[in-house]
Amino acid sequence: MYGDFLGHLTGVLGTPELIALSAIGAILGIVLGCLPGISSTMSLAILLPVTYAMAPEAAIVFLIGVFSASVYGGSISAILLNIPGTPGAIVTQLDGYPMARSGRAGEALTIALFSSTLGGIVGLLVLMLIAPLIVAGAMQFRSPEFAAATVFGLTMLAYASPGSTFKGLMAGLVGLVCGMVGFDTVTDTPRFTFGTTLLESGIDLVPLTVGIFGLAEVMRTIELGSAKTAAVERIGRLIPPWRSLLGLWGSIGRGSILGAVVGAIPAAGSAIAVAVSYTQEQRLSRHPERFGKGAPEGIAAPEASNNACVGGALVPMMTLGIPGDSMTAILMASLLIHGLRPGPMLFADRPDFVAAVYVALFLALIFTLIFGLVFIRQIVRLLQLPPNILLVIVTLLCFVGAFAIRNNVDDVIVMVAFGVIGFIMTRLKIPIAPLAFGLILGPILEENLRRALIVSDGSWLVFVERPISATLLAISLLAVLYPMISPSLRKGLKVGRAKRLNDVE
Amino acid sequence: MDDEANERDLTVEFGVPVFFGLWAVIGWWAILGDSYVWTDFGLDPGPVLMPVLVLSFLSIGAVIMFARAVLLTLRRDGRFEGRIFRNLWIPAVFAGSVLLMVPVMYRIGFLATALIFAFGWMCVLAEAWHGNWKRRLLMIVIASAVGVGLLTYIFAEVIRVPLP
Repeated sequence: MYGDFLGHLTGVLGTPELIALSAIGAILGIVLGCLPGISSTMSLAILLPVTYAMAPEAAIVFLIGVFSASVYGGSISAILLNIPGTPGAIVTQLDGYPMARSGRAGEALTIALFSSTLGGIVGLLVLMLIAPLIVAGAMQFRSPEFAAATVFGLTMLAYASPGSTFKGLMAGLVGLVCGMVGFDTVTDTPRFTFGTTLLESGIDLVPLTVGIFGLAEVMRTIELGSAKTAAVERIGRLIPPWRSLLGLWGSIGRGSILGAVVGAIPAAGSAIAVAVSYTQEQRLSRHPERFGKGAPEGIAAPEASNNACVGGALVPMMTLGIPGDSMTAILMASLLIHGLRPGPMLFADRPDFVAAVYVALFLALIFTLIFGLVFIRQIVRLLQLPPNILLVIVTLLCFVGAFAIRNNVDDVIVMVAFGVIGFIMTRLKIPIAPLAFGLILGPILEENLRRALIVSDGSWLVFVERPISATLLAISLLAVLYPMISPSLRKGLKVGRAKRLNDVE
Repeated sequence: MDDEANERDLTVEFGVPVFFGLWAVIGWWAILGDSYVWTDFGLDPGPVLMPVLVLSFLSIGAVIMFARAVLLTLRRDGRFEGRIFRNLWIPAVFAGSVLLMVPVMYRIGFLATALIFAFGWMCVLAEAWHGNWKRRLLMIVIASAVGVGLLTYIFAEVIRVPLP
């Protein structure tokens, strides 16, 4: 695989269009990621329509550029505004902002940049190392395993979504319903169309994702009003003393490995990785009291972890076709739009494309490093713009993007409808991401479920007779039941402990 | 009751099952009223299997959530605060104006429609843009012209989307 990577890297370096797309993706990713109110998911969703006309390889190079760079972009606003641009930058602000307030904003940004780059490279290496091993195992998968893996993916994503797992699961079910709208692919039977042409061609992934991640977020931000933020305007010198930078290698190494491993667990997400990474650094530090007051290790470890998660999150998406989080769900949507289904067969049929993904991530990291060093002062000026003004442009991008799929206003109507649905869901504290996962994974689940039942002559036991499928379903069931029974368990344990204490007294 | 329970908004507790319940009702209405999906397709369980499974889970889940909300109300575990209905008008008008762009776009073209939309909403939302009104207006004109111009160029010229 490393040979494929190097061969493909040479090929890409000889293609100016791909290099330009990666560079544009990286700069857009940094800019959008650093703007408060525009998350990595939203950046990817609104830029997804731009990739329609591109070849699959070009599209993935561009989108991975946006994805990887927006992760670093999120740390810029965390350091300068004390507002994390992305969930993964949530702990960067704890030490980044105090460091910026003490006149060392440039140093904090550079530490974040170097850590992100190194973390990203470790994540990429882990992706290249682990992916073929998982694919070798997944080659044994048949329809029952694929169906069970899809249920597992949906459940884990609902489990990891903010708020209640049950609400997340229900949102996933709504996504599955949306995925069934239109003609059934096997029997060509229309479903849920109500006789309207608007629904006959089904609900496309793009208007739905643009609506719930783009327009709904804009509506929510507008409703909240523009936050009055006190940005640190003077960033000072950029490069910290080399000795202090080299002294961070342990933190960066630990953060990177932790991030890549946690990121590879479906639905674990970068927020968990950075939190664990930060706590670990504080525990290992000789001066834990410095944490929260501008400790460079408090930036280096979580930032390395955050970007290492990018490579890790691509592992389940590329090998099993299960998106690790909402960002990889949009990347998966882009592959599906271009007729490529992620999973073990992608490695067998299109090894060149898999190598292109690795190269895309590598280029994105390099361009983020370059732009982060060269243009950081210009990028920081963007933070002075009122966010609401940018949100109006983002809305227009959602509008044109939805229209551009099939040059059809029906998709714009669907986009607005899902924008409103996403807004209502946010008001009701229902996680929105599982809805998109349901739409993406629904057709895969239905196809494999029906195929498994055809092969087993209608016997549902096929899902529990096969060990991998049974294990995946058992874990899914546990994930659903655990939040329901855990309060009772905790209560029982507390009562038991109190009783023991009484007995002792 | 703990603090969390005291802060619980029962409007949300009822709103969630109503939201999911509506999806289930609309789904069942579509499936039960469609005789063709129930056709026997031999070994293939047919196009009705997934809808029936998913809608059953959705319905059961909505009923459980509704029952929980009723239980919480009977136990006076929370209050009907109606927070979900507050400050709705700006997002509602915003969504409506996006939808309104569709017919307007076919009358006066995308470029003019987008310029009106961008200028109008930037004026409404530009309270954070400091400075006197002349400077603010100039900045809004520049921002809307640059933003819309760039978008139209990328989609109409580079990607070749036939915008009206």
